[in-house]
Amino acid sequence: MAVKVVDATGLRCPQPILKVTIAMPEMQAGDILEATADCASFEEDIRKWCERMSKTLLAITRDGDKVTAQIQF
Amino acid sequence: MSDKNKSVSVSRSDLDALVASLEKIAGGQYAERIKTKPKDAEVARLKDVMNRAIASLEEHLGEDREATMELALGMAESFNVLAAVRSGDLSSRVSDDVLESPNEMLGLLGKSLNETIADIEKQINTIRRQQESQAAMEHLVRQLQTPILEIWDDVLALPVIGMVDSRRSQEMMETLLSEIVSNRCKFVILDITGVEIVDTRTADHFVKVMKSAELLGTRCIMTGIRPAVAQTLVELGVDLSSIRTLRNLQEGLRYCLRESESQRTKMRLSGEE
Repeated sequence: MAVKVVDATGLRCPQPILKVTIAMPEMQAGDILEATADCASFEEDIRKWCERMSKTLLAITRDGDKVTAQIQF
Repeated sequence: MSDKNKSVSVSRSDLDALVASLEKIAGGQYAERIKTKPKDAEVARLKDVMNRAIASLEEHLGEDREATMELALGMAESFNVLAAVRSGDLSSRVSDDVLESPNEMLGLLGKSLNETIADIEKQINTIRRQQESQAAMEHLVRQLQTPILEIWDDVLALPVIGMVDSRRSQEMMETLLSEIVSNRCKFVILDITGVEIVDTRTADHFVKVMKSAELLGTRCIMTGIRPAVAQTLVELGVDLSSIRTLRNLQEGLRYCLRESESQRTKMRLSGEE
């Protein structure tokens, strides 16, 4: 099981979720993707993305403006 | 003095409140509204107009964001489907969320993508069916190339026609050995009347087939060696000394029957003793 990190800080909606999308083909079943962004709508966007892509959103953590989402493939 | 030239007085606190709200809005906080209550009716009118403008801006930005997200999610889903197809999953399709998207272009893209994948899947299935059919045909041809006939009790005949290469000789050997085991036959006649050209390798294949059959306890006879083939075998120096050869299939069968009868007589006599 691999962990891939995607840094989307400084990008505005919907760029962070598109960046997460681009990382998708490299992911294997069971891998975890950690995406961080500071866009105000990132949490809401990544929840919708996970629902649409049928992926499991393991956790959302906040550090100031930065939001990190852990997604299991 | 006309109304156009009439001066308007704004208190310092109202002006500060207006500026502070506008600063927040300029910083992206579109939910902000000007809450101060100016005493001057004209300033109050200005405040109302500004609040309506901000509300309208917030509404439009919200609609734009929704449309952008819809487009981004649709693109992400289409990208995901393409990646799945590329990795071999031809059952993958974009969902109705994309197909029925308010964004007409996205819907058309999704529809086109699904149709293309369906076409590819159909073509691959057609090719698979053709390959299966071809494989079945090749198997049938191979079986027909190596017919094994039980021409008498305990006697199998393997007529060989055409060229014999390594693959065919391997198939001949496997089929013949399997038949010998299942039929428990005592004699095998390898009839090569239909073989017009023989080289060292072909002759070697025949010898191997017959020796393998003899290891299972059968007597092997080769029949139908054409004069030209016999000449070639001698010229090539192929050693067939360990193999019983006869002129044709008829003589081969006669030999088998004679040998079979002789064996039965011996067994009878040993039983009497």
